[in-house]
Amino acid sequence: MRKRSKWEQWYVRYIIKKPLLFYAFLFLGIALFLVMSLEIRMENGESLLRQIFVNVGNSL
Amino acid sequence: MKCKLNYLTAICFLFRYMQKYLTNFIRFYLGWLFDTVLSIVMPVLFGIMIDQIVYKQNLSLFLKLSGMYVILAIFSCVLYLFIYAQHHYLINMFTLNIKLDIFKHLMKCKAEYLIDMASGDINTLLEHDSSECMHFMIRNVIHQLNHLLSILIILGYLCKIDIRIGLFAMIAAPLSAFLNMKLGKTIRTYGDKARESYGGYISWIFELLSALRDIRVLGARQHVENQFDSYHKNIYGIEKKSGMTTYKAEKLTGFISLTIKLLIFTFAGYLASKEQLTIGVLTIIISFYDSLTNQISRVSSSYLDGLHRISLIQKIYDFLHAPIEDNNTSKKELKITDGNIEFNTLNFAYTKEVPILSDITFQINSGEKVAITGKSGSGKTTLAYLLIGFYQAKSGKLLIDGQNLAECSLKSIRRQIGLIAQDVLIFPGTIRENIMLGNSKATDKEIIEVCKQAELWEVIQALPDGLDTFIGLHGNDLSGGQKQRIAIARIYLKNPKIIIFDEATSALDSKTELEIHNAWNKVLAGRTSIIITHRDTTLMHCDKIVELRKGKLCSQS
Repeated sequence: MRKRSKWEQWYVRYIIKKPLLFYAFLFLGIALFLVMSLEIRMENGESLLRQIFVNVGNSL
Repeated sequence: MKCKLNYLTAICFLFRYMQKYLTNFIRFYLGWLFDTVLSIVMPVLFGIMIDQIVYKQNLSLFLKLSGMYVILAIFSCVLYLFIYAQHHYLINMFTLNIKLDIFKHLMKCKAEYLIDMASGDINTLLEHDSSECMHFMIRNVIHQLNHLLSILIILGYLCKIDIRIGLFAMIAAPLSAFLNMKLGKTIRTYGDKARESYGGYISWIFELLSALRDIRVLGARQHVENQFDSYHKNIYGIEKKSGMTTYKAEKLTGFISLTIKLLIFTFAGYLASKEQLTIGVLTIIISFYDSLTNQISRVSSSYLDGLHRISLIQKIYDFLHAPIEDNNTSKKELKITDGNIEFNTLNFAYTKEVPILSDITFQINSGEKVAITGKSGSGKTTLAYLLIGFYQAKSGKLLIDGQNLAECSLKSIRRQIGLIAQDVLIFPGTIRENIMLGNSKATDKEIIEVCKQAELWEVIQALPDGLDTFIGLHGNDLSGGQKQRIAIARIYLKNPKIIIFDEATSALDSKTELEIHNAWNKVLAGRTSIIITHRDTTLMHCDKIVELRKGKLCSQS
């Protein structure tokens, strides 16, 4: 039988058989999503606040 | 239990093969699910970026979002590596398990069932249809689920943007689906016809390739070429009809989707002109609607594709539910002590209308060498096959040493009864491997002994590698007599109590036949033997002659 190379052994072990790497990667993706949506919300909140200050300043 | 498969029952049937790799399937599904979500998020992100730069001139957020866009694109690429790895692994393992099941079933399937199946059909089942099962699970189930989910999310988002746009989109989806369901039935019928026709052609070509020499000898080349041409014309005709129907279905749904798309774009453009929608949201609607029509057409084509595949899975399902031999494990062990055989008012027929054997009654005593003779189709081979348990008698009894064969396990019957047919089965391998089919635990000494008794040893000694000489496919490197002697050596190694020779010497010349008879005399000493033959020279070596005519016992002498 042909002997597997180190890369093949690693591939079979961590990509195919063991789910740890996959789930870690998936959680990383979900975290990225959360950070991204939080960033957009905060930026929108800040610009809204800035707009309110501008409007209040103008009215004064 | 037999049943007509549909989407749900096909999934249930394949689920037992999935169970072993369920975690891999879950990872594969989650990977695709995340990819689906990514494909929905990307246009939204793009729309937000446009709005940020056009209406708010917020360059810092625009750049941040651009960076995230790039990171998500890289993330998607790496995700594909995981998906591809699981896909490759599942395709191999899942298909292998189905193939193994088909092969195991083939080994224990009832001979009566296999008579109706061409070897090409079994080959197609093993090599083509089995891999379609996995494609069904991936393309028609997992991808289908993701497409449907994607459609729901997009519709929900469009409703959130503007309920009128969402409702417009909701009309397009069921309309396309309905049209496809309607046309799907017709396409399935054509698909079945095309596959049936192609299956017939594959079987024909498979059988033909094994008889190329005979075709040339018979001068049937033109006839075969005409048949080849006719098969292809037939397949082309059916595929053309099937292709046209599929084309019509796809184009019709495509046209309807395009019309609705233009209506929605016009309406969204109107809202944007009235400043009720931003430019970013307009790009999201355009992008989402394209994606929606794309998903709907994928769902419909995948549905039709799935129907095609179900008909292939049905073939596997039917084969795996075909009756098997000796499924009753409680049957007793056959114990042959003397080798007395009694055929008692035995009847057999493949179909009710055409009896093959009628009221066969005779007895073979221990150690007797009995010849069964008669014209072709008189039922001689069927009688032998009943004895070895390939077929079951419809009525009457077949007794060996007073034990009813119908009540004995096939394993014990075949262990103690040997059959040598005219076409000797030779595997590509060494002579030793071929002889050891009779007894895989035999020692070299035993093999040499049986070769000497089968008058084969001198031939083997003359070969450069002796017992380890490689014999080509079907034993083409050996003469007919040598193949027969390998079969005799094999049977002798198996050491059965009863031996049947089915036209074993009918294709041999008289010199070789004489050599084979000499080999027989050593092998058959003290054993009950049945020799099915036409030849007078063979009949002379027997103690008793039984003649069959049209499935009935004609004479005994």
